[in-house]
Amino acid sequence: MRDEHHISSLVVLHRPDAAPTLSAFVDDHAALDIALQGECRCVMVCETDNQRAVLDLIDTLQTLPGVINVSLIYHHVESAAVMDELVSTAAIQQGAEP
Amino acid sequence: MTLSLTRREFIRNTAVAVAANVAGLALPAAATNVLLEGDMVQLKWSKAPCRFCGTGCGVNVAVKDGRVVATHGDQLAEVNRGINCVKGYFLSKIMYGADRLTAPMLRKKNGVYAKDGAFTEVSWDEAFDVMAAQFKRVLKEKGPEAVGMFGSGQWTVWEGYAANKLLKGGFRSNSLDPNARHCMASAVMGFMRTFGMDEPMGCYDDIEATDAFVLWGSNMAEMHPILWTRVTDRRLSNPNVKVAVLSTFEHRSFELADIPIVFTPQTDLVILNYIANHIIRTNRVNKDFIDKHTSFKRGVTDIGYGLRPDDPLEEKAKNAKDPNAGEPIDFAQFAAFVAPYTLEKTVEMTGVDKGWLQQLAELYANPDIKVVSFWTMGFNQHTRGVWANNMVYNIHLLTGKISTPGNSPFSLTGQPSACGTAREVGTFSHRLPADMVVTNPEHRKHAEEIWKIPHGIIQPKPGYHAVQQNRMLRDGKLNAYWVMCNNNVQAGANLMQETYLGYRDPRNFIVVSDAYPTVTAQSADLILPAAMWVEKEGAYGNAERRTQFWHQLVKAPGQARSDLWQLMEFSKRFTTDECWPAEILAANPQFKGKTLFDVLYRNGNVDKFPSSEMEAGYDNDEAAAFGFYVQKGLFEEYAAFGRGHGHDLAPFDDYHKAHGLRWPVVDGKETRWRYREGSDPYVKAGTGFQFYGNPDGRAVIWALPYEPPPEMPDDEYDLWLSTGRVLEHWHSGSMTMRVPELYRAFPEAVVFMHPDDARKRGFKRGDEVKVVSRRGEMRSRVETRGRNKPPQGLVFVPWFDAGQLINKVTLDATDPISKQTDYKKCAVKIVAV
Repeated sequence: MRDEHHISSLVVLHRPDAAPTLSAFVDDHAALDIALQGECRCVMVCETDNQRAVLDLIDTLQTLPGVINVSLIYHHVESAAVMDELVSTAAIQQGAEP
Repeated sequence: MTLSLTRREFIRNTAVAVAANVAGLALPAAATNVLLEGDMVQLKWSKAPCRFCGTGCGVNVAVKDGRVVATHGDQLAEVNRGINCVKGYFLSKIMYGADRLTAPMLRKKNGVYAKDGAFTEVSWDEAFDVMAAQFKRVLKEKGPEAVGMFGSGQWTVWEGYAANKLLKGGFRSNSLDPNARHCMASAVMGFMRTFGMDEPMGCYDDIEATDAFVLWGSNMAEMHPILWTRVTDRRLSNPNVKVAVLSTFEHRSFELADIPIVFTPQTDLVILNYIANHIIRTNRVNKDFIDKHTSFKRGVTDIGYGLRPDDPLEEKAKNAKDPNAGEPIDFAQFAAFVAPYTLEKTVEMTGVDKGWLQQLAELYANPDIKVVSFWTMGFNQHTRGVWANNMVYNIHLLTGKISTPGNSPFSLTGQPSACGTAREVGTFSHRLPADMVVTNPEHRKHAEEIWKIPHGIIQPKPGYHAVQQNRMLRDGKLNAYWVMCNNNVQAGANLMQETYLGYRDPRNFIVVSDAYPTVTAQSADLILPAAMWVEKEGAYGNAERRTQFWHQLVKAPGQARSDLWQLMEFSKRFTTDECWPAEILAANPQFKGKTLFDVLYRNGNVDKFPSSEMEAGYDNDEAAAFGFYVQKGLFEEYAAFGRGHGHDLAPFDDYHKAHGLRWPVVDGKETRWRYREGSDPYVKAGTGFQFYGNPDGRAVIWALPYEPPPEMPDDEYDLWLSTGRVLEHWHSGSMTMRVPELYRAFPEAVVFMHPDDARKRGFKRGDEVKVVSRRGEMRSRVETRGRNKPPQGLVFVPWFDAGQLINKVTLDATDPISKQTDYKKCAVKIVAV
C-alpha cells in the first residue's frame, strides 16, 4: 500500500438498544473510536492506511443489528509521514474555559 | 496558553467537531474552537457540489499544495446538511488514479493514424489536426447528419451548452444526445405530456413535510443514501409516517418498509391503474381540483418497443409510428377506462397480497395523508416508462396531492447534472434550451437570434438519439463521432450486436474524451485527456431544480484539458464555409470566412465578460486560454433562453455565493413549489394552481393501459433478468475501476438469485455460471445471500461495473416515446460453465 493515512469521521444512527453492540464492535477494531455517544446516534473516528478499509468498516457497521444508517462526514487523506508534524494551536485555548 | 498538537490530532479533532455538529451532539468544551481552523494545517477550504449522483450534496473541499486532500459534507448545504455518503468519500481520491489520462492518444501505424493502429501519445495539435481532417471528410462526403456526439449528465452546464451550440449551430447536426437518455428520458416525456414543462414541481423539503413515502422501484437506501437518511429521520421520529417500497425484488430499502411489495415485472402499470380506480370507486376524487386544474386524454396503445423497424414486434405494432398521440376524453370515460383494474385482477397479475395493495392505495386515497412518490430507473428504464410517469401523476392529480408541501410526485435523478445540463440546456437530439425543440420553427428562430447566427442554420429534423446513434454507427451512417464524459460502450444495451461493432467499423472515426481509459476510450480511435470536477470551474443542476456552482481549485494533470476547452478550441479549426450552406452565407456575407469559434463563442455574448470579473484567488484555465470569462459569458447567454419563461436563473455571480438556488429564481427568490399560488411567482393571483406549461393551464390525466413487455420468460429462457446498480459497484465503478474489461474473461460479477432457483438448477452459492439470452452471454457467480433478494423466477445482475458486461445479454428495447432503454426486463437462462 502507498504511504497514506486516512482520517474519517462517521455519524452512526442506531436504535437505542444497539449501543452495546456498537461499543463491542469498536473494541474489536483498532481503526475505530467512538468520539461522542448520544442516545440513538454516535460519532466515530476511523483511521486507516487505505481507503478500502474505511469502506469495509462502513459496510460492516451498516449490517450490525440495530444500525439504521452510517454516514461519512469528514474524510482526509495525506502522507502518513506528515501526520506527526506539530501544529501551533493558539486558537484551541480561546474559550476553552467555561 | 498555546497548546501543541500533531497534525494527526488536529485533523481528528476537526473530523469529530464537524460530525458532532451534523449529529447535533455536544462537543467537549476544549474541542469547540478547532472547527476548521484550516490555516493551521495549510488547508484552503472551498465549496463544491458532489461529483457523483443527482442528489446534489454540497461538500467542502480542502486543497493543500495544489492537491485535494480533504472533504466533508457542507453544513450550510440544504440538501445534505453536513452529511456525506461513501461516494462522496471518493471525491478527494477520484482525480488521483494511477492510470489517469494525461496526454492525447491516437491509434497509429507507421507514424500515421490507422484504425487498426496502436494507441500512441500525440500532441493536442496533432490530435486536433487528425480529428478535424476526419470530421471535414465526413462533412464533405456525407453531410452534417453523419457527424454526431454523445454527451453527458455529468458535463457542467456550460460544457453542455457549448456542445449544443457547436453541434446544432456549428456543424448543423442535431445528433447530439446525452447519456441521460439512458436514465431520464422517460421522466422528461412524462413531464412534457402531463405538465407541458420538464422537471419536478416539488423539492426535497417535501421529505420533512409528508406523511407517507412510496418508492416505485427506487432503492434509495443504496442509490440516494443522503435523501434516504432524511426519509429515515422523518420515519423514525414520526411513528405515524408510513413507507411503502415497491420493487421486482427485495433490496435494502425494504428494511424501512411498512408496506413491502414485490410485484411481477411490468405490472407496476396495473397497480397504478388499480390505485386510480380505487380512488374513484371510494369517492375520494378531489372534484374541485380536477374540474379547475386538469384535463383528460386517452393515449394511443400498441406502440411497439423501439426496436429496429424490421423487428417483427415493430412491424406488427399498430401505433409504432406515432406513439405519443392521444385524444381528449372526460372524467367519466377515464373512470370507465380504469374500472377493469379491480383489486382481484391486480392481485392476479402482480402476485402481490391484497392487503398490501389496499394499504398502498389508501395512502393516496385518504385525503388526510400527504404523500411523496419517488422513482428512478424502475419507471424510466421501462418500455412503457413514459406511461408509468404519466400514471403516477394521474393518482396525485385525481386527489389534488401535488405542488403543496409534503404532496409530491418526485422523479429522482442518477447523474449530478442530468437535470441541469442534459435537460435544461437541451442537449438531446430533439431539444434546444428551456424546453424548446428543433421541430418548432419559432423555437429555432429564437435560438438563432440568441446565438446571433443566421436563420436556417439549425436543422428542423431531430438527430439520432442514443440507441439510434449506436445503430447508425453500426450501419455506417454516423461516421464522425465524439463521446464526452460517459462510458457508453459499457452502458449501452446489446453491446455485442450493436455498440462494439459500430465503434470498430473502419468507416467511422471515434473520439472519446475522458479522464480515465474506460472501456469506451479503449474502443475509440482517438482519446482526449479530460480535466474533471474541481480542476475546472463548473455548474451542476440537481433533481430539485437547484443550480450550484464551484470554482477551479486545482490544476488538471499533464495535458488534460476540460471538455469546455476541447469543444471551443476544436471549433477554431472549422470555417463557416466548410460547415454552412453557400446560400445562407451568400445572404449573410458578414459570416463568410469566419471560424466556428468566431461565430459561436466570439459573438459578443460569450466573450462579453473580461477575465478581470473572476473572483480573486482561483484559477480559471479556460479564461486564461481564451482571454475572457468564458463560463460567465456562456451562462448568461444560456440564461437568456429561460428568463421570463418560467425557467429563470439568477445572475451568474449569485451562484458563487449561494449554496445553490432552485429555479425559477425571480427577484432574487428561489421557488420551492411550482404551479401553486403563493409559492410560484408565475401563478396568477386567484387561480390557486396553474399548470402553465400547458396553454390551458391544466395538467393532463392520461388513460393508459397495461401492455406486456417485448420479452418474457418462456420454456427455454425461463428467468426474468433485471439489472441495476449496487452501492459497492458505484464505488468501484467507471471512475475508480478502469481495467480493460472487454478482453477479460474471469468475472467478478454476481448474479443474485433465489436459493430455490439455484437449487433446482443444481447450483450452490459461489458457483460459476453463464447468464445467457438470445443476444449473448456473460459469466458470473451465483449469489443467494446478501441484501438483494429476488423472488423465484427473477435474477438481478448489477451492471455499472466494467467487470461484468451484462449488456452483452440485455435487449435494446426502448420506450417508443422517450427512446430510453429498458434495462430491467428480458428473458435469460442460467447454465453451468
